[in-house]
Amino acid sequence: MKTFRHVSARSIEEATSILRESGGKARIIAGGTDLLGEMRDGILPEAGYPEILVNIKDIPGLDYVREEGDRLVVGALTRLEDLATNETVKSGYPALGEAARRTASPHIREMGTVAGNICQNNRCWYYWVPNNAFYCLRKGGKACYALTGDARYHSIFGAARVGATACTRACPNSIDMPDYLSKIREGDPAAAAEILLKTNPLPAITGRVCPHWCEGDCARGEFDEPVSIREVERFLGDQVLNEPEGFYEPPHRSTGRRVAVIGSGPAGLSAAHYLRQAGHWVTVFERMPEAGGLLVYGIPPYRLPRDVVRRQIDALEDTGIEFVLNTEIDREGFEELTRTYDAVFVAAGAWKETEAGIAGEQCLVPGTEFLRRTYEQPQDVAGKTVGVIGGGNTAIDVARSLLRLGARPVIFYRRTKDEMPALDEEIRKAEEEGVRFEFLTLPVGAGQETEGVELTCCRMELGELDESGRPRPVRVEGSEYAVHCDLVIKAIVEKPDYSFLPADFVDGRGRLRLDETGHSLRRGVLAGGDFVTGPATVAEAIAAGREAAKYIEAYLVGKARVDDETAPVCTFGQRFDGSCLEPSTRVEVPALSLTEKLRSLTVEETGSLDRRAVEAEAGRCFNCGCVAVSSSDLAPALIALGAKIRTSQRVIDAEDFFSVGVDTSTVLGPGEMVLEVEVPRPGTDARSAFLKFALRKSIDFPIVNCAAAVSTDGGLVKSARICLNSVYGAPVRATAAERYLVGKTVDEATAAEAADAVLADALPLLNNRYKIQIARTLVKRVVLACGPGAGPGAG
Amino acid sequence: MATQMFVVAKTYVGCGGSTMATVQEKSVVSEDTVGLRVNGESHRVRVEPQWTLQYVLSEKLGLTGTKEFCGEGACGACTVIMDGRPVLSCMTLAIECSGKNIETIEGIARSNHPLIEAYIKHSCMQCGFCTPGFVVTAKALLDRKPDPTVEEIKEAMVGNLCRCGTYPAHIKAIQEAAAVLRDVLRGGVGREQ
Repeated sequence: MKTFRHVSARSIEEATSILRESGGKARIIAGGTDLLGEMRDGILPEAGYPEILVNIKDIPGLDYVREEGDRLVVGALTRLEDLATNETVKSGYPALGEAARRTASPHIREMGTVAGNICQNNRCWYYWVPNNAFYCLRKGGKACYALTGDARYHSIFGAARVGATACTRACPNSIDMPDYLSKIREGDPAAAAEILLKTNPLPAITGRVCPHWCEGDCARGEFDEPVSIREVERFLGDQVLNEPEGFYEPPHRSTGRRVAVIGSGPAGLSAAHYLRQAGHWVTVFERMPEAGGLLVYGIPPYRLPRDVVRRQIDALEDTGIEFVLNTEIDREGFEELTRTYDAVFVAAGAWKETEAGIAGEQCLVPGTEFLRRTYEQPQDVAGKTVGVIGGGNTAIDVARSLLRLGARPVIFYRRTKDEMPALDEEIRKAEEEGVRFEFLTLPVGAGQETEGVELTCCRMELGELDESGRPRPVRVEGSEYAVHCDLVIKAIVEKPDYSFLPADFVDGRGRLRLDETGHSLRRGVLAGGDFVTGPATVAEAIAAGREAAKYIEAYLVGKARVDDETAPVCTFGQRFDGSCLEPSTRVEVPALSLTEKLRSLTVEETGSLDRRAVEAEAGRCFNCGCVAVSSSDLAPALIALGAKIRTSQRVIDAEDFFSVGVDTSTVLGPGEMVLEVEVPRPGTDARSAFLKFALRKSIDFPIVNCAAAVSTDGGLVKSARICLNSVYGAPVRATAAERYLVGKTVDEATAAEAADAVLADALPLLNNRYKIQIARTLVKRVVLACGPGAGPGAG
Repeated sequence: MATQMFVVAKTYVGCGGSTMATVQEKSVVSEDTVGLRVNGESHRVRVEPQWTLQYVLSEKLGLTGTKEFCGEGACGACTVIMDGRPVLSCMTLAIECSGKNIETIEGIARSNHPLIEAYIKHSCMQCGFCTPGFVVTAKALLDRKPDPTVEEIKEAMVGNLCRCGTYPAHIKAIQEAAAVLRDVLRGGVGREQ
């Protein structure tokens, strides 16, 4: 078992003060049967355990059951067995007595307390499997196994979000995918787009080129195929570019502060957007004739059409961002910007070619230069064999562009496919299209010939792991050989060019001197994107730009701290639809045939989904949440009887006491503990009952349990309170059934009708639809048990 | 009778500085030595906070009759009687048992309780692993209800599991032991009948 410190509190004050002062590291042990099981079986990830157990069982005066005036009061430490066998309870409060009697086994009832029962953790079979065998959502993992697996101890009224889902966590921009996909399902794509734009101002672009880590981590991937999130994003991105009104608007207020952004790539655009939306004047400086940076001069147009980038820039320009093109910033210009603007953001990307260390390197064409030229004025390379040196995204982009220009590209890479830094999706496409790969091959020399280049290569083998965690390529002695190419392009690591920065911004080893936040070069002068990290992805650059915008904003308004990235909201208790759980496949994305693809450098290789397809894809989102259930037997009885819970701080209606949570299933705050349960004495015209469906008579947790309290007048129902449990993250009050019953007689027909009303809005999981039937039957029977002529168990 | 020992916490995780002082004044922490009264005998045992009562009984006091099987409160093999209640010793921390009166299968056997004879007579065991838990639970029942009905017996024993399926035999044995006990109480000859 886990080790912990154990404290036996002698008073309520002592227990609550320890809880409060422990900073969340202490937990109460009252009955202990759940908590000890949890600690002993190692069901949680390492960090999840309490460090201190506060034993409250020795606190005197909390163990009693008695009637005081017109109510029953039950002390928090009353054993369930004592409640179950108490004559006053059995006769006057039968639903409560029966609920206690049906809780677990006699041994557990002898140990378990009333407070422990109502404060127990929400139940889930997967959660409780020893050794954290199911590292589920609730524990911080990626998937909920009950959504599509066995789900007897799980919800039939939807799930509760337990913080950021796996897709959101995988996204550099923390986009709340389930949230915007829900909006699409609800038929409100505009609202979906708004959620998307909150952390990603360029969805039409990322919707095309993002490596979609979200899809890699999509919980659905384990089940059938991940949701095609990027295609939905692309659809929404195109929508907002088609009708930018309402999405890209000038800010309502102006601060009058001016910010210069150097570089109009994704990092610069992202920062510019968020700064502009905050009310600042933003000017973006771009050395090239067109804005977009890497989006225009790096990513080939068959992946990202130029008009998409143009329309994106136009939309941003319309919000009042100023673009100054054809303007290279040199050291002097930089100093001037820092003087004339309130803040400067450097997002100049990574464009500088590095030396490959190949003899005769001057006869190789740099990859970025090739891509840039290709866009402006495509080279005639038709029919030519072109060597491409490198294994990153630039090498793949160069090779695939060459194919479209009619050339025969060969990629020389010194390691193997597994170690290639290029995105897997891009490598796969290159292979499909017919790019040749020479792995474990290192060009070591190049010689200009009258027609082309002779490349001397060396075979390699993989050795020990290097500092990047990849195996180091080692030359095979005597393996040199010569290859003839018509042209050789080197697409090895590009680096940022710091030459325009003041000398003191760069350290002796040629690295940027950033402050401890990793953003600032000087107060009001920040840097981000590839300029800081070296070549990365568009999504990461957007994140860097947004982050920098926050620091700049903080600097401009003189705020000491920068708010944390808006953490995805934990919307406990929110109901989520599980109707997407049937197996389904991803919607097919329209794509050009291979021959069509290779015919053009500028025609986009894939098409957009139409609205119906997007809705189908959004409908596939599991909307991942926790479906563990509140399974206390006392809870529904207390709610049906209109009980109140007295804590060390307040009195709470039993109905409001339970909440859907991960670490807690109640509304108790830190340092708050339950002291007493008060149950109003039912009137002489009232009856109450409790029923439980479990697989075994004892020990097992309920599949469904249900309590009702009905008062009648002249045979007609005056009021009814019905509560189900084990069907959702918190007890479910059956208000529809209660309303229906008022004014009616209790008989087979009305009880059945009431039961139907409760289950009308059930949202079962893939494998627990049967619980609806069980719940319906229990409600019907419990209502009948409260009616005239009811048998034992009612009173 | 063992004395219950309490000392002020010397170190206290998560509570530093001034808060620590306030906690120290109020806090009473069970010392790592507990006084247990088991089958009428007093023991002083050094325990670690995470040790269960079952572990201490079996490993520290040599009372190996109290078995651990499921370890999660579902089988009843580890049942002991604590202050008159049948409880699960695998789910009870020994550190919380200071000053409690504990009765184990060894005590019940030593007292020559009629349940022992009845269990043998009715062959209530096959492998026998669950038997101590059944006997202790039955003893707790008979202490409270000298004349239990079949339903009451079933209800009281429902937390004890037997993989060999000996359940029907237990009901007969418990009824018989109850009858013997009632005779003893009335001054009859009991088991010899």
